Amino acid sequence: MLEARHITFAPLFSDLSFSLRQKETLLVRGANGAGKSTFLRILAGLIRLKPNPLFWKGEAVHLSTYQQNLLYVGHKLALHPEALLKDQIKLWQYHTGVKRDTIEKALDLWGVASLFNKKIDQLSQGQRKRISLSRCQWLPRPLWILDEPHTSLDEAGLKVLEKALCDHREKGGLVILATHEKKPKGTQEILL
Amino acid sequence: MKVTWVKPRYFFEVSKVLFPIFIGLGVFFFAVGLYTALLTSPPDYQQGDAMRIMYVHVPASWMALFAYALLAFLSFFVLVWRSPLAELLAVSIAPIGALFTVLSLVTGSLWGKPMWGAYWVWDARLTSVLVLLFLYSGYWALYKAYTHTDQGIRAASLLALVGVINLPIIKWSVNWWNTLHQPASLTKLSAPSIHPSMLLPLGLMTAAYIFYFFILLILRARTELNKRKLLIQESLT
Amino acid sequence: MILRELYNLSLHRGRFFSIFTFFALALFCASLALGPNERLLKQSAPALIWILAILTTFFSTPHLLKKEAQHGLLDEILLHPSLASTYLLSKVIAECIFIGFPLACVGLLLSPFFSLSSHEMLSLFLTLLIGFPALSALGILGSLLTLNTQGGGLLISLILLPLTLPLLIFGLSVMDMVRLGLDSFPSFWLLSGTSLFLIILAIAAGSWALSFATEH
Repeated sequence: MLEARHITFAPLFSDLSFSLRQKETLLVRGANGAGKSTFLRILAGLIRLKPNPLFWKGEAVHLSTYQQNLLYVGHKLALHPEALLKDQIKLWQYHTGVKRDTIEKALDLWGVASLFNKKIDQLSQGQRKRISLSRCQWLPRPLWILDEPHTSLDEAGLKVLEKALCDHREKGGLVILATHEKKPKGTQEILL
Repeated sequence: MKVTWVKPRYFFEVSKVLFPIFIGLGVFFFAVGLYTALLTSPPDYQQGDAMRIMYVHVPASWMALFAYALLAFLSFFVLVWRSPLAELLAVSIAPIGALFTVLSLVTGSLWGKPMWGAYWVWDARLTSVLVLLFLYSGYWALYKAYTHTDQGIRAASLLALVGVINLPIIKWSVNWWNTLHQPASLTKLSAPSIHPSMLLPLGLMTAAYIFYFFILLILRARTELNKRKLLIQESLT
Repeated sequence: MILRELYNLSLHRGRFFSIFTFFALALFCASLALGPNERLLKQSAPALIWILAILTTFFSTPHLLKKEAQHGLLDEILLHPSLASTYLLSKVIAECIFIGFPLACVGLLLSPFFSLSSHEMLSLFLTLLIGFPALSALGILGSLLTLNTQGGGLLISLILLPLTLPLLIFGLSVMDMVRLGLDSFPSFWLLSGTSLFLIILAIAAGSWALSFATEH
């Protein structure tokens, strides 16, 4: 469903291509600084390359429609530092139109529902990661692009993440991950 | 044909051919222009020979403006099509345009001394040219502020586009401000009526300036291209 | 959205104090430096107040945007493409409410430093109110253009000051008209028109700048 042709970004990497079908995972590996995050940002359409290297369902990607199929969780977590969690929930409701209950249930699943009245920058890195990753639960999008989702999570968090990834794949979703973890067979891999 | 224009390499090839032609024509026009401007055109009955500075000043202002318009035009190509040739040319034009602006200001103030008795007056035209100089400085400052030139050129290009859209408004508002504040004598003297015999040297000098501009542009663009090639080679090794 | 921005700005309460104090302090120093000549003070007041307002705005806008960029919030906006203009517009509105209006009030309060008549004070207040949205929009544009640089407020002022000239000129011409006792309405319309034009231009350019500001 997703095809990338000849992605070049000097001086990090050149001429990378892959194609990803439903229920498949793409792992992006590399040393620190190799350009994993940049690569993911290109795939998310945050960095626009000419000529356009992305093809969704066979057609050249038109960014605004493509991005509606996309769930991107980057390094920076996109959480408002000064906001309370409940305000962040309100913002999400506004941005995406998802119901409050759905979001709260997802947060509960990720084990952070008790932090409603806390300010986001007072939370630990792992807690923030969980809040950010809870998007996987309440934002139903076919393509997931996750930048190092395993970092900062404890064992319980990792379990929830794995389950979420499995469920998503079962439902026919596509996953692109940047990670340092080992992954079972049956996944594509790109080494930067 | 359109596709080949875009590649800097072709620019190099084309410029090799054009360069000597431009030098030849430039020298010719300068010679003829200066001759007619300084020697054969009649002195103004009001200002005498000092008026001849106009032949240096006016084309310089026109070139400054033309360079900015060209810069904005190229900036559009940089932003929408990411054309590397446009980037190259835009970066080369900015300092040249600024040079013409400074030339215009200096000659304008030299002209001002015999005309109005002062080196600087808040004449609408001089002020607008000064604003143009600041627009060029802003463009250059923004471009240089980035360590990655491709980011810098895009930010600066957007600034150039915003600037060019604002330029008529700025000019008009400065003009308006001056008509409110200038004593009447100044406005009368600031625009000498153009006598037909003045048009020829003016035209010749303008042509000379245009060729000079393109000569400088080709020189700078080539240097910039070589610099970039060198940087790429360095980063690869 | 607007509520979010209002909330957002209100969280930076600490900075507000310094913004307004800077403005007031600079004005105070200026009026002191000009000496007791009443006529001189009256004539230079609008110009000084306007210029300091411009500089204050340009120096205080980048901070918030840089923080948002740091936390990936700009990425979020980019991923919902239709949000860009709304986002910027709501920022402008929030800034007007939280910074513009109080700034104009501070200017109003300090007008006695410059021995302005009450009619002049009111006109100055109105011109600042009308002009501020444009200044804020330009400031945001400048911040977006300089997001990944070290330049900060100084660089923003450098690149944007020529663009603020029409605002300055028309704002001051209003004051001139008022001082001469002439009808100032045409100047007010010119000021409003310019302000609106600059707001639209700055937001449009800002959306464009947003799309490449997050690339690094």
